[in-house]
Amino acid sequence: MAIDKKIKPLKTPVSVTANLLLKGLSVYLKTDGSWSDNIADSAIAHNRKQETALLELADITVRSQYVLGAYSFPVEIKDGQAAPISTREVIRASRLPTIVPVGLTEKPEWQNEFTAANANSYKH
Amino acid sequence: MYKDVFAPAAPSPVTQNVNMYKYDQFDDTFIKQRIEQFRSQVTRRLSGHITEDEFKPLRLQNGVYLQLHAYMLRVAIPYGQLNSTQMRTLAHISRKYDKGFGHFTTRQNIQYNWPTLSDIPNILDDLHKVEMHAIQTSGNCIRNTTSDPFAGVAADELVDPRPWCEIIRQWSTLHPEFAFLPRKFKIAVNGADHDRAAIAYHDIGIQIIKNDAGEIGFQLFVGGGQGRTPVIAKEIRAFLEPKYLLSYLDSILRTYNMIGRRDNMYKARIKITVNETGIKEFTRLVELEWNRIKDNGFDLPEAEKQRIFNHFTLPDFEKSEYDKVAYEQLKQDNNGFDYFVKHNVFGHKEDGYSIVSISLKPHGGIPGDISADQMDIVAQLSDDYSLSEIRATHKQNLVLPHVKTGELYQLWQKLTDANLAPANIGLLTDIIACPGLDYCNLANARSITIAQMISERFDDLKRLTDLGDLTLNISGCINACAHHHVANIGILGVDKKGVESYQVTLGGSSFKDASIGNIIGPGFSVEEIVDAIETITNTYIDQREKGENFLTCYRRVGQTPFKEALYNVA
Repeated sequence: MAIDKKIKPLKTPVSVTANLLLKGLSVYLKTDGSWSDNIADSAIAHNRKQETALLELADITVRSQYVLGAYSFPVEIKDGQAAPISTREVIRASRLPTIVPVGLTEKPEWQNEFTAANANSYKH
Repeated sequence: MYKDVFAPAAPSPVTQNVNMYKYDQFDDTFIKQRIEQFRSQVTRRLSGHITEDEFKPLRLQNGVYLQLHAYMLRVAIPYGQLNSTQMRTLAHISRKYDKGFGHFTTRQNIQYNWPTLSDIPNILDDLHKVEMHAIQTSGNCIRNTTSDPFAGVAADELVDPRPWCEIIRQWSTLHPEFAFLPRKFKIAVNGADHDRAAIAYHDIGIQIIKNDAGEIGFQLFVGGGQGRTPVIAKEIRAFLEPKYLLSYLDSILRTYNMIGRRDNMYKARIKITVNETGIKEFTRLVELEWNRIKDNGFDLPEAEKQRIFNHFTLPDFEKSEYDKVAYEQLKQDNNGFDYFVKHNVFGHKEDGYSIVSISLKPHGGIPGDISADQMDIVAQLSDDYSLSEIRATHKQNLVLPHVKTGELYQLWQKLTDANLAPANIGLLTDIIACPGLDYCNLANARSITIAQMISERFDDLKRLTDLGDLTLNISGCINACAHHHVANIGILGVDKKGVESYQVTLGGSSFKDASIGNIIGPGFSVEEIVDAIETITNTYIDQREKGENFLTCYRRVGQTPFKEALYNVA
């Protein structure tokens, strides 16, 4: 997303995240309105207008019952990609706890099934 | 009674003889209907017929949370009592629907951290087959009633509290008046001299007592709690005849429901109501209501009470004799077994039997976590050594309540093979820790990591034994799910400008001598906190007098020496 210099920038850039309605897993909004489980794929907003646009885009998916609880959160940009800043978002983005429970070895599996094209017809 | 159970495919006859409440047709139908109701709610949520705002209170009352990484399902274990068939089902669920492990909680429940929403009604179906459910494990309702994990068998027990817990469970489950209270509501019942149920920190704490005339009754406390405002419960009635328990509980709940603060969720717990109203006035209001409703059909008919009590008769214990000389020799020859007996084995009512605590706090482990394989092993060991009965404790451990003392050594060997024999019950590394920021949506800091680091630093049993009785609890936020306020050493994780920081409190107790810990000073970083705990224990060793445990020593010397040692101030 291009930076509009006429609009006051945010203190830090933000991305938009949510949880999948079916599995609860943390996912990140991409510029095309679909979702990725990799924060590096997420769209980045640099100002309030872009942030609002991303949240509106996310809301389409919320209304389609694919994700829930979408919100924006501060990110830093590393090699042009979003990276989490707070400990909470670092842990969410890893998709696993920082500790290793007995029995838990692999990250939860998930593939995006939601696109702008099926936004109005998506069904679980 | 138990149908379609999981591996082994059929329950052993002994399982059916466990002295615990067994569903009748009414219970069975009620739970089935409830599952179908929830299945329909899930379907409507996924199809968009109800919104998240509409669904959330429904899923919460069925124990379903949304956490950081996934949904979490909390399953009720009524007053902590399980049989081996139920434990095998818990293992089966963790394998089939989750990730091969479960987490025992401070309300004697178990949590699964990774279920898919559409699977949850099927999980509830599987639970129903072994007479379990997840009703009221969350939400602003009366939660799972907790009790002494040694209930019914403790050598120091006056009366078995379990039948009373079951009566409260049946009364409170879907009670139409109390389904949407101002906030969550927790009740604990203790029937022994030693308070192993932390009744002082419950919305209602019930202590079973004997009065001067030798009659059994209840001493009732109200308005205890932890969270951001820790409060020790106050006595509301010194002695209540047992037949009036439900009408009195009704009266407390009605009074709270009427005047509790619904305008501010931080002031909505009954502890705030009692503090703002004053215990004298609150008691007057409760008694007013009670005098209006008692002897008016609110209490349990004697026949129904007896029906419930009949489920809890003690098993017919085989005579248990053992060679005491050989037993002592085994302890002498085997240091590990000696420590295990010292810390994990407790006196049983029946001669020749012992109560065995299984610590879920291994070296570097996650407090309360247990793998599916370990659940199956515990189930088998309970069949082999404990009349198929198991208890979950509010300290996130398990208990085998009926072990022949002469079989302790064999049992210990098998527990050791399964990494289930840490001999640290009641010691510093018997840590209560909430899931913290590794799972919880509300947490500000990680707590499991800190527990692991402490258990790795304090790994020497000789040293732990020397430190003696010492409770250490770690909460990842001010909601205090891990009871940090009432630990001798409490750790509270906070977010300090995006960085985890750990505040230490000293001097808390959850027992009869209940006290709330005091904050010792500024917080410590992840890198500093374990050293800080070591400084505290070293200060205790320097300051203690002969035979003095940590809490007694702290109460005598106060904060100063600890503060000086921690912050290098003279």
